[in-house]
Amino acid sequence: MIRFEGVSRKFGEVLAVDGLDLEVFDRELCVLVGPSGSGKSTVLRMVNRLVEPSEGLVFVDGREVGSLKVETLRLGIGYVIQGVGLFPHLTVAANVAVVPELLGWPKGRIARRVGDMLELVGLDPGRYGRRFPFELSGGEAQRVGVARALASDPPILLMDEPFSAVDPVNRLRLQTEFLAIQRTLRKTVVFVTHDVDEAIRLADRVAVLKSGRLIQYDVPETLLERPNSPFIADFVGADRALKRLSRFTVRDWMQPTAGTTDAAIAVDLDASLRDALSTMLGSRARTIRVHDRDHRPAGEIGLQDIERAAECGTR
Amino acid sequence: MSKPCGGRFRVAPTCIAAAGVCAVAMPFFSLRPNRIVSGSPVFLAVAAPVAAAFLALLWVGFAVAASRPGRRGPIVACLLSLSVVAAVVVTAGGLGDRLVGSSAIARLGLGSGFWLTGTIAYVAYVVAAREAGLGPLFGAAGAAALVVLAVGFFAFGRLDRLSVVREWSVQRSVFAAEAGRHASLAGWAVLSGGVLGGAIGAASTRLKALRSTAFFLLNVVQTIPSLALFGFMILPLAALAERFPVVREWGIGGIGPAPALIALTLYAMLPIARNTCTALEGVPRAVLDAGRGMGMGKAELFLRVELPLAAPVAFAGVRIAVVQTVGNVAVAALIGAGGFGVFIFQGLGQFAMDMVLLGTLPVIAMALAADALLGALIFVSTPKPLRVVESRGGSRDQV
Repeated sequence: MIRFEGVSRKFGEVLAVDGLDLEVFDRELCVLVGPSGSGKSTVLRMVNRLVEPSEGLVFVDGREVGSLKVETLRLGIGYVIQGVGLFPHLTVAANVAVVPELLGWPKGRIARRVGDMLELVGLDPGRYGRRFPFELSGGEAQRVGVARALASDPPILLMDEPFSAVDPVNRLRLQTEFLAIQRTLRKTVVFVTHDVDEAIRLADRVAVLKSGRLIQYDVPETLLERPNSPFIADFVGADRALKRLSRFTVRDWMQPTAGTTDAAIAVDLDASLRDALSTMLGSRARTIRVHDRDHRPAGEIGLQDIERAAECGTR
Repeated sequence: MSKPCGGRFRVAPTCIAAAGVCAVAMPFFSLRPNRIVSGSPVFLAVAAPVAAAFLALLWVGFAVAASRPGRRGPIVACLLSLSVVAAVVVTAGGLGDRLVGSSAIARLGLGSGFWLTGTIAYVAYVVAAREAGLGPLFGAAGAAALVVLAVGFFAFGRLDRLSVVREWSVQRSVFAAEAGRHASLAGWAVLSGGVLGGAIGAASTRLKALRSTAFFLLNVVQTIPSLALFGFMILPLAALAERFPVVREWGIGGIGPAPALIALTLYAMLPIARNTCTALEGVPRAVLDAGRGMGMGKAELFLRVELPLAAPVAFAGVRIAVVQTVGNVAVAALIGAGGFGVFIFQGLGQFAMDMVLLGTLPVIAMALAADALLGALIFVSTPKPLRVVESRGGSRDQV
């Protein structure tokens, strides 16, 4: 659990973070979102002391971070940054092995762990382990970044705009995959982004910041239904009903009656209801087919299913 | 797939080959009755028409091979340019026997054609190797092959009638001693310059004040002509030795190897310091941030991340320093530091150009060999992604 108590940070005359009180709950994915200059990265970097607060205290698991040896603190926290920051002179496997090596794990255990981690993020260890970062696509590099951060199985994960340098299609894929990983591993994650859609899609709880101040901290549904200020309403946008739909997956709302619809249009099992609706509108169909990853039919979903989801408050 | 195209011959290799052919027509050697007289020119076309024709043929072959698309042509061109050097060495051996005969003091001097051919062959080799996309390993291999060939001929006495070799056989023991002095002076200077320059370069990425001062001073040093810098060393060191006899006992005085070593170290520091600094600052910030955030301490970050990423560029600085130092040591002979410069300055004084050559040739050879060796070492020890890939020759000269 991570807790900020009256934390402020000044850079020269600029107040980047202003009196922040925030609690990130255990095993939750907390997204810090806000326009650029809102101080969200600074907040994240104060958790692992890459930035020290000018005022106030930061606690990790009830211990004030300033009281811990900085390397010890950081070794217990996974860290993923924008542009990945993979070590260009090390292979993918060596990159993933960095923290276990710093922790002094035996060689065999490191090798096994590296293989497991690469598989977890969907990269074949045999094919990718010996490659160098320059031989990876943006999405692959980002996956390695996640594998590296998870390698020592830290309870906490800090992710600073991890997917923002990837093209939209790959970003969506990475988000979906990361959500699946997070559902099984249940880490305490602090995730910084400037993309509201990404925040809504991933978060258990969203903290919206503006000029260093926390404006609203709530679960995405509340944020979308009851924005506490015109700023939030404006920030989440007029399409917030649609944004809510992005939190539901087709899998949870479809009718598993395979093969009854002969519509040619199909949507993926793991797609969001927002994407399903968009597909329907685009094809002028009220019902479309659902297929799984391998393009086998899995059922169908109709406009009424989406309406049902939109009326329902919870996932 | 290959279709006939307009540019059959490419400009650069053709020009090089043409220059090579012209060089064949110039006086290749000179027949000299003794070491002082300049002697009469020997034209290859007259004295050894077969050799002349063969050389010309090699050059034509080079132009054709180097103009071919793909890799195989340029590789053949590389070998042809090496063959030019080999042919020249063989010719020199044969002509020496025939023209000089058994005279004890007559000799075969090296003429403008010889020097030009050597230089052009080197340029041709470099151009073709780059065109073929061959790495520094190949360069080192080529240099080694030539060294083996020349040393082999030399060892079997085939080159005994060449004026330089004549000079060497007289100076034999002195030559060995000066060669050792030259190499050790250059080696120590680069070593101390490397330690100091590397430390300054690394420190100046952290301390901005040190950076501007240190680089200002090192740049100033670099602008002082080497002879003047050696001169500057004389007075303070002489005074020091005068004041403290202990210092003199260590062999330090106004002249000799000590002032030379100090001056050479000062020269070697700039390229190493500059490259170290540039290399460390070139380490991407995101990578440093990631390393720090993952829990690396200062020492771990430096050893595991900064140093390996910076090493190739920093060692390129060492390579520059080595070549520069090997050349500068020659000047250090003027303040009594020894080295190949001894022959150069003695030869100049006696108006004996063969002796000047006896000093100059090994300096060039040592510099080129060190450059090739270090280039290959750096290449081998650099992890694949950090290797600077040399560009595959320019664009095709298409009409």
